[in-house]
Amino acid sequence: MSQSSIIDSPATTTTNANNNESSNNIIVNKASNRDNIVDKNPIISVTSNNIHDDENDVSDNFEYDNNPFSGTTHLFASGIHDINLYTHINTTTNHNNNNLLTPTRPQYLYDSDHIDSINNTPKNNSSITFLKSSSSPLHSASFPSSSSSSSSSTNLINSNNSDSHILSLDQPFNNSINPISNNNNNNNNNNTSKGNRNNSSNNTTDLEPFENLSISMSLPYQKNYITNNPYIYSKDNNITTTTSNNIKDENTQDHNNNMSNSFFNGPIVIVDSGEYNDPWGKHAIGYIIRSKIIDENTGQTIEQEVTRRYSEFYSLYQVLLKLLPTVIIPPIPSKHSIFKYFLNPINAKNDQRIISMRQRRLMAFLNHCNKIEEIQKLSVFQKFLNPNYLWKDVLNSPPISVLPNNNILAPPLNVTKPSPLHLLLPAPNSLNSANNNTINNSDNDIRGSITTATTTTTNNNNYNDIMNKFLLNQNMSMESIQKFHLNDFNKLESQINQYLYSLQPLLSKIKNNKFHIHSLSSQFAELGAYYNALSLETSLPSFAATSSSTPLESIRQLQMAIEKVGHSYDVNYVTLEILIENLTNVIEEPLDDLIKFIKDSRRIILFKNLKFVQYQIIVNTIHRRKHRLNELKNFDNKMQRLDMVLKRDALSSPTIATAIKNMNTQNKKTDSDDDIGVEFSETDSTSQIINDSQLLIQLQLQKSKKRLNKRKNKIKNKFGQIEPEFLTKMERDEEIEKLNKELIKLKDCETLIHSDLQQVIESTLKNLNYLLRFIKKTCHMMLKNITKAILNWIKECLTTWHQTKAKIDCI
Amino acid sequence: MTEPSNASHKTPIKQDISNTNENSQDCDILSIRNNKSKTKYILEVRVSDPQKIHGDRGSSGSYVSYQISTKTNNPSYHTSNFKNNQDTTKVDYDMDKIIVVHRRYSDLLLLQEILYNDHPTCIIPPLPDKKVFQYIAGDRFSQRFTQKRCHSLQKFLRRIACHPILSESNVLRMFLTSDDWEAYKKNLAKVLPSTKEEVTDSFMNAFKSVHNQSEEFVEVKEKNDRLNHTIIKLDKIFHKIIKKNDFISEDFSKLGTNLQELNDLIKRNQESGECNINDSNDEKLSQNLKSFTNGIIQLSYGLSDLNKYLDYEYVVDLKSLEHFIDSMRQLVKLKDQKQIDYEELNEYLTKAVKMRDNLISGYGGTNFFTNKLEEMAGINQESVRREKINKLENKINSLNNELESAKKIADAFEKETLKEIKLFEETKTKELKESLGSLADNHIKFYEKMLETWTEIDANLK
Repeated sequence: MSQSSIIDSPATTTTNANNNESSNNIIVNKASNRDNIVDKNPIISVTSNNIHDDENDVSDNFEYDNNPFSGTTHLFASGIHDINLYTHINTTTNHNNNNLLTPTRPQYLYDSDHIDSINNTPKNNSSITFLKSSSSPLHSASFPSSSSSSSSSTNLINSNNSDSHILSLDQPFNNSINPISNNNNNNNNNNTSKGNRNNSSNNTTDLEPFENLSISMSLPYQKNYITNNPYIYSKDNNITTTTSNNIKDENTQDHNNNMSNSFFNGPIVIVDSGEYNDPWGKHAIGYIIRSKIIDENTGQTIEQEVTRRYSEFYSLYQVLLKLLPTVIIPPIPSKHSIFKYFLNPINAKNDQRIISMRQRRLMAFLNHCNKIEEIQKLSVFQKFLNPNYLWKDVLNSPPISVLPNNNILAPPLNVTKPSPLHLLLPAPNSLNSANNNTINNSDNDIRGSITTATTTTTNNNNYNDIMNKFLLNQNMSMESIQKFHLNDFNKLESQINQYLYSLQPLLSKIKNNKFHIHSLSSQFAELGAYYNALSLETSLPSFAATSSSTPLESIRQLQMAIEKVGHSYDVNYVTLEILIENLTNVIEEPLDDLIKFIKDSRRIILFKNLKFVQYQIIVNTIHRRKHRLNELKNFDNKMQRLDMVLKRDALSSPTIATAIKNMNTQNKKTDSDDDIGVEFSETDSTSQIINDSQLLIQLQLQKSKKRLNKRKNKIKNKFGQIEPEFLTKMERDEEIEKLNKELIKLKDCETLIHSDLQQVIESTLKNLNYLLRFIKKTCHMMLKNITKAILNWIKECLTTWHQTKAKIDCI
Repeated sequence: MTEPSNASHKTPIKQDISNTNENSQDCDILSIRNNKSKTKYILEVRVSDPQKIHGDRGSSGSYVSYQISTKTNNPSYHTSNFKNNQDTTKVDYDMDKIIVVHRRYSDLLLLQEILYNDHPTCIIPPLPDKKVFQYIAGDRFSQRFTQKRCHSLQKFLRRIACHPILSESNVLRMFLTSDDWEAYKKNLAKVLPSTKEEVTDSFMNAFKSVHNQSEEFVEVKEKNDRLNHTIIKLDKIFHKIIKKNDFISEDFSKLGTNLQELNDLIKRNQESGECNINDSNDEKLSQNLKSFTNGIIQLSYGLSDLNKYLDYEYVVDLKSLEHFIDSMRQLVKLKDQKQIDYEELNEYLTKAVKMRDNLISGYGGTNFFTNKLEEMAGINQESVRREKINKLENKINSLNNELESAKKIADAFEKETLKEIKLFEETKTKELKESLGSLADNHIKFYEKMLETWTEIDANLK
């Protein structure tokens, strides 16, 4: 129910989009929406207002100049931004809103819920679980296991909240916040968050009653608002920064360090696999994962076991890919091919070989994950191993449920909490930007180089050159780019690619080899059988046996020897089979994983490059806007100087004054049907003369220009911008103001993306280095293991043949 | 034969001499047992060193000549040799001297033919196939082909040498020692009776079967059929294995090159990447990789060596055993032939006796019309009858004699055949032991070498 109204809301609120400076607006909005929309809607309308305002700005720019984001798939550039934007905001606010609802919950509900669904989880998780259950009744209804109690409670909470909003707009309500938040504190083990809570509650209570009212009304939303949109928040300084910071901290704590007090110790083992019924009674193949955690609170090692099925592993993998754009995610075994599944559904399900293969490789996956710090820290990953969480619940709760659609529009290390600025960022898409980019400015070559850079990220050879060219072109971003360790990156990338190129044929060779060895071993098996047959057939004919000069004993010995040979071949067969299995386990699978690893590294490199392009676009835009601004300002200065001169002259010589007057009247006549005239009439009468004189010169200039441009028949410059001469003072001022606003935003964007880029590069470098080390380590391991396997094989065969030889010699 | 050409293509192949000696020792012991009456001689034969000889004048192209070296303590071999050298005066023959001759495949074929004719009751060891296909394909000078043939020719000569009767043959001595074999062969080739008649004969009798087959032969036949079947199967499997081994060995060598590339890459990175964190690790890794690659390549070599043995020797052994069984069957067939001859004679005799008895007892056996005709011609029936009876009497007598001799022959043949079969079984046992032994030896050799290589690698890795 909430979804539709959310999407509708912008339409109704766009009318007052331009004056959202004060928080009053929020209250008005809220009040108007309160009746039919659940409590979270007001925030959405507010945020959407703001965003919409931004959008207006940007879309205005569209009309006048070359949009910085044109050619990208940025939300605002493409027509579909509405849906994306709102769904996005919806999710984020959803979650935060709920987060803040928790303090207002009555004690008893909290307890009951606590017992119901949280059981043994660390207590600072509670808020998140609550979030989920209370976030949307729709959601919780789909969880039969936990729904009955929690959904009803959710309704209760919701009604509670809305009631309180409607009824108590004063002290009592405010009081009600305090005890509950205190309650929460008691339940919270985490000291820091406790402090934060206290701070926030103190802050709210310290405010004056009237303000309390507005705050108590808008507090949750404001909080959300703040946490989500710090940028916009800074515009309207209603709430002290401390609160926002506190809440921010709390949020991050909830999300990132959710279970930071427990970490995994020792390897994760998949102890068993087999059929089981998942929590929804479905029949599936489950993998029992055993892991050890050290609880920091108690210092004890706890062993936990959880059963997950393949699809859950797969979804974890997918989530990791989205959550960590700068981390190379370990690969998991591929899905069953659908074709195979249709051909032989029962077998595919129960095929022991596939299951054991999956068991092995999933275990490898988990352990690889566990070794990567970023993944290990992730609450999602920890929850995956925690038997107290239903994976479906985890998937439908933040941070997974609030994943942005596009990674590039979010902070790289913390994708789930994009700031509104992130949403403003251009979203370069390597292919789209190459194809759709309509380049009509002087930065043509630079733009081109960017797009080609993005497209060639996949084939790295000329990427280097382009990047260098880029460096030369963009002197202003030189120093920042230098920090990017471009050289290091190139080296790493080429190294990784080389590894890929040499490892891939290796894998295919090994597969081939395995196949041949397998067919050989099957031949050995047959051989063993036939030697046994031969041993039976090498008896002397009965007549010869009696009168033979060779003793019967020797024939028997021969038979045994032949049998022994057969046996040897049998042993050869068995040991070869073992060797093959070892080849698969020890070389083929790790190698396959390694290759997938390396391939995945391309994803993070691409991400890095996209981020880089994003940064470049922003920098370019700033550059261009500044240029434009200077142009306009210069022109303004010029006009003022002219004006001054004219005024001075008019004072001294009446002829000129009359001439000016005449001109003005002329202009008025001519301008009466002009837009300029309308605007002009509205302007302050004191500045009329100035404006008049300006207009005069402007018109003169325009005329001359028009004459000049008649042949060309265009008044736009190469940027697609209208030359300043053709703009009225009003327009210029408007544009200057707009540009200034935009520049501020762009500057913010720049600093944001710059830090983002730094983070991305740091993280990517770290991960690529990790990959290189990992490759070497894996190679080392593989060599060691396979050598052992080969040695075992040789030893076995040697002993059996020695025995055979001894038997033969006995004859 | 055709134009003389100086260029002789050499394809020397190393042969395991120790192995050979050991084997001949066994053969020798065998011959001692069977020739109690005669003095025992050691006869060691080795075929080696197949060489492509470009054709002499008049003949059709080049051929492959095999070096046949004989070591024996039989004085006659040495005398013949020494006579040629006009060195008869010397009494103390150099028994250790190895007699070396060069023969080609057709020479051996001739030898086989002569032996076959001379000793019909013996199982003449088979020669390898003529391999017409290889002749057409022009592959008969390849190392693989000549090497395999060399091995199977050696097998042939050794089997002869093991045989108590055949080894005594003068033709064999001539073949093994004489320098004049070329002339000898040329003279013989014209006079030699062709075996074609016998072939057709045996073909005509092919559909007749022996009535009273002795139990022993039934058993022998059955056993041999089964044995043959198994050996053919083994042969097939080994062929497959050889193919697979080839693949694998190739795979390994390719893997080796790939690993080498990887190693180069690591090295290159190590050199270029001065910033690298774990240089020592890299170096270690590259060393490990190097030794591992080496191991893989060794494995590839070892496997191909083992495969060569299997291909050139073991499979040839199997094949020749198969052929040997075939020729044994041939002998049994020949024996059957003799028996069939005897049985037919016997039948004929009984017929004649029956007719005579009829004549004696009156009308029984005679034709009514002929009697009538003779009556009309005025011939004295009684006298005619007497005459006929006399004739039959004579015939029966002669038939009886013949039958007796046929029986003798058949019996003797059967006896000889049984003896031969016994001999064959023994030879077969020896051969099996021999080939299995060498099979095991080669496997051990392979695995031991690999063990050595890989233990080293393993040690290096740690």
